[in-house]
Amino acid sequence: MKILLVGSGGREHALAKLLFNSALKPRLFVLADYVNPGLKREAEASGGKLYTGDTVNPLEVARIADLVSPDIIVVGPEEPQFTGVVDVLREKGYSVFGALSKTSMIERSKVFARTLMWKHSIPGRLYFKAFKNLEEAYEYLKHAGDVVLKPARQAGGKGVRVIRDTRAYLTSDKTDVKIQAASKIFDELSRYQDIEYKIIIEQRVEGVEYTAQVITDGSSILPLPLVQDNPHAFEGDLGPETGGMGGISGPGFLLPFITSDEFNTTIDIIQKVLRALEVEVGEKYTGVIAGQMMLTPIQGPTVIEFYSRFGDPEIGCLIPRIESDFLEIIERTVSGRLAGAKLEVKDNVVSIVKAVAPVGYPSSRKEALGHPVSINEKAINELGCIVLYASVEEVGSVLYTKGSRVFEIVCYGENYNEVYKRSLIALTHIESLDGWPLFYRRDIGSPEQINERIKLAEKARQTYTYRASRGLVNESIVWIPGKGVVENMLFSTLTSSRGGFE
Amino acid sequence: MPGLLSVFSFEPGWPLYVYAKYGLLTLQNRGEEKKILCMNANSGVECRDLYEWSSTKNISNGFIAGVFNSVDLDGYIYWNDKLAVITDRRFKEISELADSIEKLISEDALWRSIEKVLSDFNGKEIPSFIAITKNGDEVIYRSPLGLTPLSIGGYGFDLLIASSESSTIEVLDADVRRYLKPGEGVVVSRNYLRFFQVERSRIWKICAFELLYTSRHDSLIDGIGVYEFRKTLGARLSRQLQSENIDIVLGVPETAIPYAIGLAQASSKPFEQAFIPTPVRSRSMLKNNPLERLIAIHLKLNPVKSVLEGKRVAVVDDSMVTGATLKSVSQILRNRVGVRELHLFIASPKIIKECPYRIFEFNKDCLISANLDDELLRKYLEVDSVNWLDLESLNDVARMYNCKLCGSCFGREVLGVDQ
Ligand SMILES: Nc1ncnc2c1ncn2[C@@H]1O[C@H](COP(=O)(O)OP(=O)(O)O)[C@@H](O)[C@H]1O
Ligand SMILES: [Mg+2]
Repeated sequence: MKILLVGSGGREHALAKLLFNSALKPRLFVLADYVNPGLKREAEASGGKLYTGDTVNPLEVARIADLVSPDIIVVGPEEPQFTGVVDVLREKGYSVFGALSKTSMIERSKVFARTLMWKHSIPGRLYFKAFKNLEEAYEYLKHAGDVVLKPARQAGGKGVRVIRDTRAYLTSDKTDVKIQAASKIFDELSRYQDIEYKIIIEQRVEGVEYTAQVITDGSSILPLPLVQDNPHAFEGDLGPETGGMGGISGPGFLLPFITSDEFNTTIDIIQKVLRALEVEVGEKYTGVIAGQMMLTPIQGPTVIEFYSRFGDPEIGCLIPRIESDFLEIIERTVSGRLAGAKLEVKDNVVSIVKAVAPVGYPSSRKEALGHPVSINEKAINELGCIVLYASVEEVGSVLYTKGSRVFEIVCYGENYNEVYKRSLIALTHIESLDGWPLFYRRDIGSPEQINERIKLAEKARQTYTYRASRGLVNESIVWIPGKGVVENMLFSTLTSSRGGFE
Repeated sequence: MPGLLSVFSFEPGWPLYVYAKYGLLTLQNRGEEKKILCMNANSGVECRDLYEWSSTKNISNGFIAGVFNSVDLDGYIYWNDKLAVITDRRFKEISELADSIEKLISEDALWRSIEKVLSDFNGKEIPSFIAITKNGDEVIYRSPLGLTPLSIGGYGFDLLIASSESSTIEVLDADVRRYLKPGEGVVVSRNYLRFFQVERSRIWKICAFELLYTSRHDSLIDGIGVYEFRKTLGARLSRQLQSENIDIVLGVPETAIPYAIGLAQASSKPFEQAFIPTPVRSRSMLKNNPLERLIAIHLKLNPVKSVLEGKRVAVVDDSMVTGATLKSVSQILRNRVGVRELHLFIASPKIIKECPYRIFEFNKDCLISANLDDELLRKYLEVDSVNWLDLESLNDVARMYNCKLCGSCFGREVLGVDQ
């Protein structure tokens, strides 16, 4: 069987490993934007090949597909989905795992995703308002309150500003911060022509984050185990937003701080979204959808955003945990036979993934670019850990950073404590060759961090179960003296945007 | 003991002056003689009185600041246009410390090698400090001895806040992320943040006064709830109370209230709020000028006569340094109100030595329990009894909370250990 994998990073390397490890003995071909040494090796070991080319250009991808003539094509990242790569390949008759440009709207446009949830009354939705022009956004921000500002388009995991505003003595000054943040978001999104709304301003929530990934052939769904990602660049959840600095998974389908009820509610939300999406765009969803979730005091499982692909580094965390033949699942997905498929997970294995990035990521990627690095993969493997090559390019025989997360190290074993210790040793086998520092988050997967999350989740649980029992899910009574009860909803200023779909 | 505060912003446009203003307000319990704010102005780093910054346009991405209980800031602050350093106790070598940090900056090695410089510093114990450079980079460091706490907070993707009080972080609408360990620090710049640990050779111990008096009731010190700790000490103190001799329990001044509640609950005696302060924020013990101190005390102590008259009263205080507050309390209760009996319960052992770290800058001749014996003390204060928390009890409670305390001024170097 021949597989063509489109994409260049750590997620694709994880997928290559999962696909390669199959009884179907696939030959792996890869189309990547640059020579990712991990992908290259994986492809060559299977008797396939790595091609380089423009992965977001549908015609170019189609050309390579024709050359390879694969049985299945897996489109990894979101950008090729947005530009219609999957659409073109399907038209040409290929079996493709990945979202069509229309269905990938669920990730590309946060306005679309939120509107969909409101229109179909799907639980876990947040109040929001979206703007096409800056002046209206300014006007709104003057009274916005406790909100999050986001680029309305998927922008590679950056640009989100969480402006907690719950102290009256700081509020007027925070308005200025919000206005500046909005203007920065408008600037940055001006380079995308494929979106109408530029900024989305939504209700801020707090709680514990986790990601639920669900594979679907358009009729059936197959949930993967939960993974927790860590968006902050630095230890202790400090510093700027990144695409994710690492995470944990297990035991079983859960995380130490998420209950099976919460897991089921989450999957239910995603299933409802899939149904609503099919109704709205008139297409079946084939591939994977991920709900980036937060367990909040206000309503329990709450949607932060959706991905129309596997999460990165989330999928890496699952490599050592999936027992089933992953390629077989992909094959059943693209041929519409997912019904009855079961995902076997190694219950007694938990995993921790940690990303390593050059200093400069994520704020000054230029500085993070072009540094030679080395990795002692053998030593890491001997520790029982897996190396994923991400934003790293092989030139000659030297590895150079490409500006984002360079490697992801996946360690696994029976309990977090032990795996955590091993992962720290594994990370010592990565080196910068020009003295330019690399960084990773020590705290991810540590017993302290996991306990902290358990406490936070418990706090959220206490409140959301109370609210649910009183019929106050994402609602609160607003009573103004002399006026009476004005509106039975939380954040009355943040009504949902009724603008419909773009 | 001064209060330290720093903010670093990863994104531009934050109203830093406002954060300094409210942040320092939360540290007022640590000093109110001087409030200093250091940040980047046009020509480099500048340190000025807080209020002198109010009209300055914000060009900085962060600041460091401190509150002090003394107008003489020698050894607390050092700055030039390239950097500023604020320590939390007087440090004679502060300029040398600043020099070696400056050298790192010029070698572009601050983020690489800060811990080396700190651990090699002439073999000397460096106090906790915060520093800011001309580039806006910051260093936050807790001394290896760990006498005073430092908490690190985060706000969204935007801010890092460090403070001597964890409550500051909450007041600034951020989340506490961690308590720096002794010898632990963090160096932060726009692209880089790294926690580092300097080798700590000696035992580390928190100044007992942090838990007894200095910190706000709503703070956590290294994760320990200050309020709970104080209540537990109050409960301990109740073992010395003969309940048939007491009608009501009072906490005086407000810093003593958790102790009084702890003592009242443990002895099943009513706790009464028997003094109503005229609202002026002031901490009497910290005032250096005796008249001002007395003014502060007198403003605080307006008795609710109806609950006190003719009663046998247990007055609880956290500590006794000069005894001035308790002398005033006694005079008010005896002369203005008229109580039947007056018993003092002090929730700390006798302070008999000067602080070797000069966290408190009292001289021995000002320490009442180093100078008056029990009999004389009772007479001076005109009370029926004075009951002190004994060292063993403090030791036990510290052990219960799993922390080590410095008790040098009580005559015991470390508390919270197996004897
Ligand atoms: N409504 C919200 N309330 C609180 N935090 C949020 C909210 N939305 C997003 N965040 C925080 O910002 C991060 C990034 O937001 P997200 O919507 O996932 O955008 P991105 O596409 O940049 O990943 C989240 O992981 C979460 O930590
Ligand atoms: Mg996200």
